[in-house]
Amino acid sequence: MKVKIEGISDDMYSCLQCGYCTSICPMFEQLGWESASPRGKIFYLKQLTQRNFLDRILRRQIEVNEDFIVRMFQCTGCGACEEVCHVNIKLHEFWKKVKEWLFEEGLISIEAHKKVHDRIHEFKNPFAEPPENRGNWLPDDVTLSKNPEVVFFQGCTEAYRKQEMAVTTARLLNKVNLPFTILGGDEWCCGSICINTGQIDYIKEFANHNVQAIKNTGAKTLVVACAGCYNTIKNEYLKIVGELPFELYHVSEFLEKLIAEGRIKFTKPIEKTVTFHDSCHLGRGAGVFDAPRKVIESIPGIKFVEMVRSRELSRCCGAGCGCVAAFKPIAVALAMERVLEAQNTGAELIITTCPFCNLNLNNVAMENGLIKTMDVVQLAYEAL
Amino acid sequence: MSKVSDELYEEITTITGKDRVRNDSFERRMYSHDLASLPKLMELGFKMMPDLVVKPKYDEEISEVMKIAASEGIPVVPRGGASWGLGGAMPVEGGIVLDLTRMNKILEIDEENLTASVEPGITWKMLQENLLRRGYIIGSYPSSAYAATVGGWINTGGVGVGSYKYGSAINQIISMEVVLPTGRIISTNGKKSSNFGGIDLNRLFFGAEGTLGIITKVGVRIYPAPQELRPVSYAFSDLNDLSKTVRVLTKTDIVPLHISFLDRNHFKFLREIGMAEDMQQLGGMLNIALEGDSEVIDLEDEIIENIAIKCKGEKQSQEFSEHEWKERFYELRTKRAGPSAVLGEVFVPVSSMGNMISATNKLIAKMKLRAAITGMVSDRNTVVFMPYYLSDERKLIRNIASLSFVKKLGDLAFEHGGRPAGLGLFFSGNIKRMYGHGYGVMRDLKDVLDPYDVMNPGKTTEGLTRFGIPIPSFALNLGMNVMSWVKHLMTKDKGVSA
Repeated sequence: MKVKIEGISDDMYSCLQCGYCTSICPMFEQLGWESASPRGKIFYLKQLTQRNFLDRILRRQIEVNEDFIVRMFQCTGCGACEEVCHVNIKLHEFWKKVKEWLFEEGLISIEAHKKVHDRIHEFKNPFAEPPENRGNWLPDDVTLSKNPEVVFFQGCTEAYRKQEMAVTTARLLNKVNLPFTILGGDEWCCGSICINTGQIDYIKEFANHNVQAIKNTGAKTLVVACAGCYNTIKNEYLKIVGELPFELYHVSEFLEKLIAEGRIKFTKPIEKTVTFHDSCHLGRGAGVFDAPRKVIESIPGIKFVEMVRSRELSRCCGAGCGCVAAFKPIAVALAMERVLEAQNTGAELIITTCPFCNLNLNNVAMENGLIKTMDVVQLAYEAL
Repeated sequence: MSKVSDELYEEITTITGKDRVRNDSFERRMYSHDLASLPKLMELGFKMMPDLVVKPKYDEEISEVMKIAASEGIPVVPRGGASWGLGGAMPVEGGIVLDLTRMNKILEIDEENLTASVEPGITWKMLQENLLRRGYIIGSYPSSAYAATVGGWINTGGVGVGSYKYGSAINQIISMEVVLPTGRIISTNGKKSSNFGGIDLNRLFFGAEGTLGIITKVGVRIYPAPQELRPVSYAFSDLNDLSKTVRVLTKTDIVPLHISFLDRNHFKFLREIGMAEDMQQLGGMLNIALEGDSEVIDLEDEIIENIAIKCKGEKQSQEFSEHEWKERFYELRTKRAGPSAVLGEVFVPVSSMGNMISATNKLIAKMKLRAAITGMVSDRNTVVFMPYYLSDERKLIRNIASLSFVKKLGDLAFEHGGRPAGLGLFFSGNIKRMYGHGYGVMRDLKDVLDPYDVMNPGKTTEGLTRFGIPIPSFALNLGMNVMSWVKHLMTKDKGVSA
């Protein structure tokens, strides 16, 4: 009768119901109903776990119904709620536990999420593209090393949808004479979207596969293009495989390192005003805030301006956690909010560190004639 | 049985459109509570779940809904951030909850006259941030500013951060637009300058807890942002020395932005959740925020330091003081150590500060609670006490028995020349004791303004259960006394030292 979800009781009872999370939650902003806010969801979860005979006497109708399930998945996983939480609840982990419970109980009803899960299992990417074509983006002018120092993990979005970004990183690594390789078909989806939608059944297999494939190259360094992959490898793989057998860098961190070592010298000034969008995965998720900013600011000619909401309190682009796949209008509306916020700074470009943010923001910007988005690597490459 | 028939539901959806009305039990359940965690047994006495939730965007919509409610006798409960704990935004006999959080726009910032016109559903934090970007500030705001709305804080008679310098919520208001319980829309002043003379209608709705009308627009005062804001903190080994410092400070010409205090137990609980250093010798912490021109602040800082040191206070590092200032929004950070917590709030005269601290500590010891005392000095005359105790609501009997602490705390406040803060549902029984014959006038005002008794009924001046039966205050008192006695007989709460 009672609903029991492992490991959430203390957090759930700690919740003060103060509503600080509600005030910052992008989903609540768009949907407007208490049931869409973190506070409301916790309130209802508490009701579910407290069910007893009184509910029947009082006809309280507390049940795991379709409305509840949909609300639990209407979350971009941005983690802003955790940032403002009055009582320090690790809300990002909290939501994952609830979603995992729903998955285990067979209660995931969002078709788009199921589809993504199945596609990744079959094709090793969420787009159902042939896995053997994963490295097809590699242009002829780029040379891979047989004794690589670095493995470049470009992720599904750059492999199949934003190839120009992966190409830029590859050319940049060649240009600074860093022997590197890619995994091609041996690189599988990192599994981020499955983890964030609670569908964790084959995650161990994927994590182990990817780590082993990287290890097999003999390289000691992994450079990750996508903020989502980076956060997953840094925080989730760590839980599965223990200590990682390589040094891990997000591409923005790697650029920062190359600049500091003097291996990258910018020669072409870029006379533009730019702003920076913190990806939730890279920022709040993995704690990387400064590296991309340092890269941007080291480019001559650039004028850098911050948006109103930045760093720990940055605003989600709306794409995460399967939101684009399942709740497109919300993802679009959130991207619109963010692009307008960027536009209001007077910037001419939004610099991103996540191809998925980039894709979502750019789609909205192009449709509405607003300012465009560019990856930090592309910006750096232009200035070389 | 629902108070809102299918026909009425249809009628209301024609006012706002279907997308801003919900009548399904899943969503309605979400609006059946505020910050307080109540046992579901409460539902035997109160119908806390609304029959309908409506999210209006315009005052005309609210007016139309009120007209229907008045003619059909349906209770209407206005709701802001729902971050109060006395049941003000919670239905007691069902009806309609008006969720005002979609009315959250800043309509105008008048930099010439230093006023801003805002909708009631904007949070104080959002308003403050927007003003700051333009070089202005709001005077005072609630410590729950992240969630508390402008309309909500006004309705709870709010005092908070900045009240020492800028006054309570009423002092921030120049004019308001209000929808009366009959649907009539009125303005309390209608001007951008202060109103002198005549009956002050702003005062009428301030602290009325949503029982006299629904605020739909507020003209607030704004101030130029100060050159500097400098928090300073002093540690005292004895809370009496802290109270003495406050009493001396209130008699000087210095007007700090904010004065607050926290006792040793608060820091002990913070330590339990890994958020404070070991402070064995601490009795209490006094946090003072100074605001204005740096040269003036330098001088005030020095004078305060002299007073505090004479009273055996020890000045803390700037870093520590800054941290304390940032934590002003996180008064119940320690709740995790419970994981449940119950907060009491009472006002007492400044002269009673020391005695009230002793009396509260005695009560805590008698009831064997894990409790801490926090509070603020809201003006030269008044100290707001916000003691809280930690518990675990999963342990039902112990938890219910402890609830009497809040009632007992209120009694202590009366004994010390003060009173509990707010009435809402739970303390409406106090109103006669608080206002004597003045209560009769309040009751008459309520009857005149709300002739059909539909505006947040059962609260503040009424105190009703779901069948319209008043809560007898003697029964409430008896019950609370029994609970406190039961708690006294029980073993100590885990973590209470001998």
